[in-house]
Amino acid sequence: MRALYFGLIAITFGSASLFLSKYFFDVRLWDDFVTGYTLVLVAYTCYLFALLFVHDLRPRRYPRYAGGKIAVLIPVFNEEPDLVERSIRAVVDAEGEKQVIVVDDGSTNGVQSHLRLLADELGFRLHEFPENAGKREALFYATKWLLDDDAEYVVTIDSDTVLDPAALVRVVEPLLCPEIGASTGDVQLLNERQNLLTRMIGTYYWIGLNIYKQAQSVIRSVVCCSGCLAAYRASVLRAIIDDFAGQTFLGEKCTHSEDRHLTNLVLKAGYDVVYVPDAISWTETPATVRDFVRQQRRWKRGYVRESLFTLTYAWKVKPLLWLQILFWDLSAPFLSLGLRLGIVAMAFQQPRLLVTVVLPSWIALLVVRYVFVPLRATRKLPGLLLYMFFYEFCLYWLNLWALFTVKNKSWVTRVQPTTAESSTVF
Amino acid sequence: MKKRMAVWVVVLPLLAVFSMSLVGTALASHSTVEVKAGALIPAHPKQKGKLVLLEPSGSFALFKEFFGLKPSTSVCWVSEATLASLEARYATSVSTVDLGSRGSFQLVTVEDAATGHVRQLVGQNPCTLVQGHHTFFLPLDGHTS
Repeated sequence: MRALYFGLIAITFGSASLFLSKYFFDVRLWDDFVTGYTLVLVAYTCYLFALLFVHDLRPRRYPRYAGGKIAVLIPVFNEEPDLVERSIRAVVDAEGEKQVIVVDDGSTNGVQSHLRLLADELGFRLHEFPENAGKREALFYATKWLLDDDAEYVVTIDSDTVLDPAALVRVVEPLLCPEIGASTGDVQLLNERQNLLTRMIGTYYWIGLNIYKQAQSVIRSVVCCSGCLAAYRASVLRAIIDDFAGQTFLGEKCTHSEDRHLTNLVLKAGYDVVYVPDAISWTETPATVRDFVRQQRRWKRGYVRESLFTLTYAWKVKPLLWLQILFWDLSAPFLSLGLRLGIVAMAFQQPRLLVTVVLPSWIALLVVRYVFVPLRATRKLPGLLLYMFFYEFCLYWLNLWALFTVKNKSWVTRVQPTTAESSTVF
Repeated sequence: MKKRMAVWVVVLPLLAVFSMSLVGTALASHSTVEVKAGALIPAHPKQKGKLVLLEPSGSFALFKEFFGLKPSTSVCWVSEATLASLEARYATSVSTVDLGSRGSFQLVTVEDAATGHVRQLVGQNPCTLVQGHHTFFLPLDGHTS
């Protein structure tokens, strides 16, 4: 892991150095790099579309739910009582044979008394931590000590997630296939219409789930089962839970991005992981730029760390996923640093090129890569344009920030629950 | 299912055009200058000089180039004196073109050159047009994580 991490840093500096080399050495080096990057971009785009084509041509069908017990784990920390009640009631009312477990992770806002009343009324199992230990510890404890012995599936949801009545049975249906170890569902936004930002995030979610996660599902290698709605085969979860709790990165105990790591461990154990668009959940998203950026910083740290982890094992069990992570998902944001520096330089040296070359070609790339947005989710088109500008000017640079602060654990001790603390979706 | 497959009538041609444009322009950006430069040099084996690449300029030149209306970039073989005049007036950068068995030659790129004035400076020096290669050349990709 250490070597891979420093390799990624070398790629980042290498890309920037190649850009600078055109001013001091032979410009051909830079031209060759841009050409090579372009060819990989085209190859990746064709690969992505080929996966989506296979999905449309032969959509996967799973056996129907047959009544196996589903243990639903809901970690709670300082959540608003109304929100958590809505979430728990949705789970209790959902279809399927269930065991509902709520773990209060040392809340300090008094939500425990509300949870106790609800537990008496609805009959779910409530466990309270004396102090905040983190979501990872809550999942570990519940899996280790609170699951019924006859639970066949474990579904984890966030305490602000509201489930569709059929979500639980839909999300566990793939687990009836013995080769599938985990699955995840669709995440929609409760507050998408709140403002421009939330509309933009709505598009971001739609693309992340219906293009990228859908494509990963075709090769049965979804890299992140969203914390909003994730299902695991109970026997698999029990087998990996110790590794999950004891994860370290560069010598330090990991405390964030538990969803991605849990998914990674399922893949590493040799099981498939799939996406189920019919299993629908709703959640709230940050409604301010500050909160959204905070959330993205955390996600991107997890993305760097867990992508590196994927590289350590996927070549054995999921070679296609390994190639995808190595040559695009992980490397592209850092390889493209030089290209972005080139555009910044162009803005000063040849500003006309920005209008006549960069902008049209950027829009052309957008139109092609995200052609499914106008074709299948027309109302999200304005959000797409907004998102792409936001990505280039803000979110892209968080990748670099995440790379150099990946060990930072500043979000471990949460004080206030905000939507920025919500689980990783992609 | 038919509805889902119907969108591919739009998607597949779009993807094909996009891929061919990107690959074609990326690859063409390398070969064209070399080929054109190679054709210029043998005509003047004993004349001292340098290869110069003149980037487009003038009203709407880039706009026209983007839409393929005016491939205005050209490569020339100019004398040392002409090159000095060009360097005095315009921003330049130096690169190398590899002409195989004939060796490597320095290529001086003159950026944002005003066409009329450059023509005066270049005079009777031999020049040839080079295919512009900027179209669809922005290999960035958002939403990678």
